[in-house]
Amino acid sequence: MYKPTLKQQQRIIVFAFLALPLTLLFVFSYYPASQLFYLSVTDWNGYAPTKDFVGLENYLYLWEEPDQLNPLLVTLYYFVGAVVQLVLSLWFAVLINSKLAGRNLFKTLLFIPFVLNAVAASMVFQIFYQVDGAFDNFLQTVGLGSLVQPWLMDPDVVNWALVGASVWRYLGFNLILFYGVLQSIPQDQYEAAKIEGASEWQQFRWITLPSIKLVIGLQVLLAFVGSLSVFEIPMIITKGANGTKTFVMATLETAFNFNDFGLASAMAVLLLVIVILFMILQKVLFSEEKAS
Amino acid sequence: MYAVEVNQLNKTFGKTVILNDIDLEMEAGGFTVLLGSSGCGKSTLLRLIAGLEDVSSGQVKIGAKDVTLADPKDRDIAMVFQSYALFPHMTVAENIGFGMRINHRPKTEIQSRVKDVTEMLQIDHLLDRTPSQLSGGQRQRVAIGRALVREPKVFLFDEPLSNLDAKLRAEMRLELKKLHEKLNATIVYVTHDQIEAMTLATRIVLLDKGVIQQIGNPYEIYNTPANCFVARFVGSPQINLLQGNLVCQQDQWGIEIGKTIISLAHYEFSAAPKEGRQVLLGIRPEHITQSPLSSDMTMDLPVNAFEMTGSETLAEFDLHGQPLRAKLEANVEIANGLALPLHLNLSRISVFCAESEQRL
Ligand SMILES: Nc1ncnc2c1ncn2[C@@H]1O[C@H](COP(=O)(O)OP(=O)(O)O)[C@@H](O)[C@H]1O
Ligand SMILES: [Mg+2]
Repeated sequence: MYKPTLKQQQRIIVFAFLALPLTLLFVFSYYPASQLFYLSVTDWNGYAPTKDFVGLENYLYLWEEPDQLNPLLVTLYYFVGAVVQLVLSLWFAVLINSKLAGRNLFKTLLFIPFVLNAVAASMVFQIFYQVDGAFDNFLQTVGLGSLVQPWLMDPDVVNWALVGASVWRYLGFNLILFYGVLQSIPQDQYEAAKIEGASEWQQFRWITLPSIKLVIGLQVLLAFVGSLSVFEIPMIITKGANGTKTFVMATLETAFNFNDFGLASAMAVLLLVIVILFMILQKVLFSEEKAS
Repeated sequence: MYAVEVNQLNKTFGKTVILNDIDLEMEAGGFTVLLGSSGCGKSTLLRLIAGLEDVSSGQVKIGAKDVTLADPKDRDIAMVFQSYALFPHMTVAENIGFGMRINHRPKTEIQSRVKDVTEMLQIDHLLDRTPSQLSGGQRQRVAIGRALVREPKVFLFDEPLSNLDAKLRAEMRLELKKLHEKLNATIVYVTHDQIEAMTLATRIVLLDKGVIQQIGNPYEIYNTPANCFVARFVGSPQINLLQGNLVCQQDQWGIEIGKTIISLAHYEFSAAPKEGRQVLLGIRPEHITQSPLSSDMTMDLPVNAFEMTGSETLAEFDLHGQPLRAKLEANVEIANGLALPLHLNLSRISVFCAESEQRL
């Protein structure tokens, strides 16, 4: 009987283990992505059996009609939100990592929004923000009644209101990641620093920050990429009204409402390019070598 | 030089009592070793002295100052951790200079003191490396350097050598001893290793379950253990504890073990002995030999089992049903069942009450 050599056996095993994930990856990621690139240079309307090659026309349109890209500016609100979210989650993680009483309860409470169904969470905020709703009542109760306004209708504040909902929802996720890495910092490093006279801030600055640098980099990337692809919250709460339309929403609208799949694909490719740029930036800023 | 003193110190975690009424004075300039098995509360006691834990009740004094409620940084101490607690993202120089840096000392002063200390510890060629680029022994030196550079009144060590291999441990032990002589500082040192305690200490504090079992210099701990726990804890192989009864014949006290009577003529009782009392006779294997020098008693006993280590032969004999271990010469002619003549050195024995296990 034929017996494979050790090398051949290794090859068979490697191939066997790789076959399934690679198949899935190609069928559901790389093939659709390649289709996206292909569609972005056609004028397909989404249902016609034929489509024509139009070259870079869709991209040129994006270049010449920057209004189409206006929703990208909404992303800036979410960038600000991402920064707030990261700072808050790190702060909470540090608190929960100390000997705070009831810290497990706080951890759970802060994490619940993340596991909550997106539609449910968004609807909660729709009700929360409505005129004379819970938020207004709360403001009045604490004596800030002068701040009350139509949170979801005024274009000046509506995006901040939505960013607030987004921060609330994703804070717990950042918190858990930060908490996990904080737990891995040996306690005796803090104790050694305490004996040498380091204040709480100095301990954070000289022990915590350097130890979590890589995770911060990862979190910044996740948060910023997340900001670029915001969809659920504005879709459900305002349906994109009052200047809350995000880039992903505009892309979907172009594809399914205006039946311009070619242009929508070009927008998706643009988003992909921006995300890749962010990833390169993150690699440069938070690389392992720079951590030392 | 400052002494460290703890008075009626108690520490509980929840309902668990970790340290129970500890009264202890660690002499100025001395090398006090807190010795005990794992979990007995040694580290907790050290951390209470350092101020890293809060006392449940009692008092900690360093020098003349009551520091029970003081911050760790105000206690004029330095501590070397078992894990070394070095900062992984800082170089050796930055690690050693950390304390001075955060206290805003001038750069030149930091540099020169780091240089002095690292030269003394022979790690001045490693200044720009990070801890991950160092061997275990080198990390150990950096940790000690970080303590030295503070020039504290009191050094606290928590099992500093336990992560090193046996050879390096022996080397560092010697260096710590030299360092102590050079610095002339007060050192409090925690270990579970009796050899470390015996070789380093000017004074040993033996702890068990949060209670002090005995305080004394290595000689006292070894030769006049206060109870069976102490007797068993120090010495390797373990001390023999033979069950017997106190007897008095013609004004001579002895211990009757089966048909044998072992004379206590040289023994100094700390409490008046009582005839017929059940006792444990403690005699160390190294005091049972085949050499007739310093012999107080001779008997022929059959060999139960033995093992040869190359430098010596450890043999177990049968004494009226009780095992008796002895440390014999390496080249002894031995076989199971063979009866060998044994000489007992009775000047170094201990007698314990069988019930309370306290020294009599
Ligand atoms: N923070 C803590 N909470 C509860 N129990 C603790 C804590 N620290 C130590 N202990 C317990 O106290 C006992 C003594 O610990 P420790 O002083 O570290 O022992 P060791 O003598 O090995 O250094 C152990 O039983 C340990 O489980
Ligand atoms: Mg310990």
